[in-house]
Amino acid sequence: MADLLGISTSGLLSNQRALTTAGHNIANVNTEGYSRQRVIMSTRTPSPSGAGYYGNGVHITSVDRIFNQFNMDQVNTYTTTTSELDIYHSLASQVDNMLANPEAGLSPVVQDFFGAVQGVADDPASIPARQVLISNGEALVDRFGYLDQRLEDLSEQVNGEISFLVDEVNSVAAQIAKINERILLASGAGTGAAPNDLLDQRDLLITRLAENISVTTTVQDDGQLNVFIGNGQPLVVANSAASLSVTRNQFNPGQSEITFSGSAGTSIITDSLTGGKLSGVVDFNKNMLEPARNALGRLAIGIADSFNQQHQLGQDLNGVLGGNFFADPTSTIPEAFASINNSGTGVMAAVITDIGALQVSDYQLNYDGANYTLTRLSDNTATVFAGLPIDVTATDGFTISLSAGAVNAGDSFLIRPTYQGASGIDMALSNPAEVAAAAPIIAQAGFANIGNSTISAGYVDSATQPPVDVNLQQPVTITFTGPGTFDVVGVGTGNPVGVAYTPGANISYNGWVMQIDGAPAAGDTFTVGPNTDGVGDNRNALSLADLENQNILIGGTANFQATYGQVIAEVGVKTHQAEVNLNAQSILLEQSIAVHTSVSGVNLDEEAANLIKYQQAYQASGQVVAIANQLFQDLLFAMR
Amino acid sequence: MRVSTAYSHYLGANAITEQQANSHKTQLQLSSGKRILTPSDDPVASAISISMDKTIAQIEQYEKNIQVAKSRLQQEETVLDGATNILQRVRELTVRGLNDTLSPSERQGVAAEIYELKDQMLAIANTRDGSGDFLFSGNKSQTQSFTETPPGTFNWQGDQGQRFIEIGQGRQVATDDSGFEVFYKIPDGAGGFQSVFQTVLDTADNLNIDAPQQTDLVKLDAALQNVVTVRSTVGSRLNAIDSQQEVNATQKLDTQVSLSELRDLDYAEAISELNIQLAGLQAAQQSYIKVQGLSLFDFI
Repeated sequence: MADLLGISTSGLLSNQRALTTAGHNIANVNTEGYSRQRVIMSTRTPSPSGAGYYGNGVHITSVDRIFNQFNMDQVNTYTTTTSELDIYHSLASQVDNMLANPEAGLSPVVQDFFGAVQGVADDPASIPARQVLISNGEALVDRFGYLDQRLEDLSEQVNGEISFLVDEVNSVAAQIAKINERILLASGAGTGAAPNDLLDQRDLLITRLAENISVTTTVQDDGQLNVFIGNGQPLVVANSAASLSVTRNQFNPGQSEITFSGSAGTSIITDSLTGGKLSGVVDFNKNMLEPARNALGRLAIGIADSFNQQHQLGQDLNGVLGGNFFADPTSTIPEAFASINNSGTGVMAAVITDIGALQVSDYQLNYDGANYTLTRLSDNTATVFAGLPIDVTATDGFTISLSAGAVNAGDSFLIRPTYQGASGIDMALSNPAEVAAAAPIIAQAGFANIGNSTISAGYVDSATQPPVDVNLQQPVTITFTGPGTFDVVGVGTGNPVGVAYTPGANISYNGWVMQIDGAPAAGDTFTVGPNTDGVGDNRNALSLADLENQNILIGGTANFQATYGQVIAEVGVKTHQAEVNLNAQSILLEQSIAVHTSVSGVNLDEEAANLIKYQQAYQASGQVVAIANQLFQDLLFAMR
Repeated sequence: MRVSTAYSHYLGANAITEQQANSHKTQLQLSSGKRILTPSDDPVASAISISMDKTIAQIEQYEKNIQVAKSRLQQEETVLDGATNILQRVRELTVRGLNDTLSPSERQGVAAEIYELKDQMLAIANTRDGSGDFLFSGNKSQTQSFTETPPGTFNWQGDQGQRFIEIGQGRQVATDDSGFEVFYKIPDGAGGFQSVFQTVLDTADNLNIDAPQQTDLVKLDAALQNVVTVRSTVGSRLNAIDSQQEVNATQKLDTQVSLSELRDLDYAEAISELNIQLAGLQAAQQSYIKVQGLSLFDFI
């Protein structure tokens, strides 16, 4: 039979439990990852009687965790994308800030360097002016080195970050495995009920993991959770966790690769990461940091090589033909790495042959036993060659040859033509007298010429030189035999006679070019010869200064400053893009959190109302207890 | 939609930090005066401003070059003025010497003065500039332009080079003239050429032996004409430099204005933006306090 005391006691106990749960929710209002809990009360089994079923009070059937898996999955997804963009943007901003600084950037030193060249053109015999040029050259070299060092620091930061994140992933994975086990035990120990607080902790761990790497999860029938990453590698299966580790790239010892070690063996997963901080860091390195270093390197090589080429067409204070102003970058800068998996002993060497054709990219060279395949990694364009040496001067500006050893089928190599450009640029010249400001030849008119004509001073043809023509400085005499013809006498010219004369047209022998204009008379002579004692000549200095205005790089479309402007703009655009994407994803993340917490989050006001509700019920039940007691007392009293 | 307590705190705090970040950025812009703080703020403008910086720096270099060019040409002008004066004096004396009323000893007196003037002429043709370079030796600026070795024989030791200096984009001006053109290759009236020093020496010699020649006067006139002609080209080159200077100044100003429009901050706009952000910040802070202050627990 229904017993009032029992019923009221059930009410007391149930509402007390409910109060406890409300108290538990209130206590955990600020606990990260906590899902509010709610007791589910239901009636006890009623007792049948002749008049019908009498209720037997209330009991608690379950303590439910108010939780929606879909909402949680949304939060994790957006957490992954937002974390990826956040770290990418933060790293990108560092590059952005570094290049932007007007004093510490590249522009002012390039400007000052060419200003110093003009200074030599203004006063070519002045040693101080030449010394200033050399000092500015050193400043230019230093600035490139400084920028490269900052980028190298970032590269090391990237490696450190990868290592740290891998450790985190491993640590969290191990914790998930452990908590799986505890959940299994707890589920078994209870009556199959879900251990709510442990589940909350596991979900929190999943979210932490999702920050670092994109994950998909499945729940086994026994309640344990399996976690998959990348292309489906199982990171956590029930209570055992696999691990990630960091190894060196097969070509470049300074680059990190992320590997997955599971029961199926070890595999490299760096390129199959699809989200999270690890993916953001790897993406930053591949798509922003390395291209920026290659672009800076290309600019350094462009300045050094073009300046050297023009410098070698000049003559220094001692009358000696110009040498290298900067250390020659064409053979010392390009790098070639052999893969550690190669079975052959081949060592490759690359030489830059056309700075205008240089691309911003690294290259991979594969040998299959019959042919070589060269792949430009920036756009994955592959070209097949039958053998070495490989000449891609026209499209990419360099050549590759085998410098030692032998290549076996299956061997591969990484070629980096421009990467070390900014760190490797250096001065070759330190003696001011060796600055080649003068031209090595001069064209002059004969004293006895009676025709009304002029002759230009002449210049060295840069299209085909350096190296300069062996006969460049051989004395050459041009004698007019009539108003429209002349004979040429001089070593290397072939001594042609009766050459047709066109006023103002180029006359070129032995690598020099000059023009005669006007109306020379028969018997007039003109000579081209070495520029002996020509210390006041600034013709080569003017040509060197003009390099600043010429479109030498990027297929002949950009001068040095414009090229640097492009580097800055690229970095700026990518950083800005990352910022825009980050803002968009952050909003999506916020919205998903809003939805999730609206279902699972604790609202203090709501819990306060619940407290009142359960307290009133408790008080009412307590009152029932008192009435039951009174009834009993009445009964006893009636028995006396 | 239900809002959890933790999320409502988060929303309030987030609004505050966002407004703080925005107003911080505006503060940075105001204190630096730059609209573009990093290239990502405006990548295209950043790239363009690099090119504009280059243009301005180049024009400033041209301004320096112009000073050098003017100084050289002005010095040459002065020297040529001096040469003109000397030749005019020689001409005067020659005309006097040609006068039949002069006695041989009077003629010798005239010759004596002309010998002096010949030496002056030689010295002036060997003028050196402030750096010690010979003005008229062409490219051989550290080799003396003319020598008289042995006495009576004049040797030209320079070359025909001219030093061009860049005064503007694609504009070069010659900042000297070779002594070959100015003093050495002067038409002698008989189809050949003779240096001005030889002409002056011959004139003095002829007067000295009491046999003045009319042809000497003709040659002197040719020499004088030559110097005057070169002098006038120097003058017109100096004029050209002056007008290029104005062109450069205009181009520099235009570029600076464009660069400023691109890169510099519009203060009025930024200040009103800052005010809006500060008002937003204040509103976020106050509303946070108000909302969080309401709790059912206050009434239990």
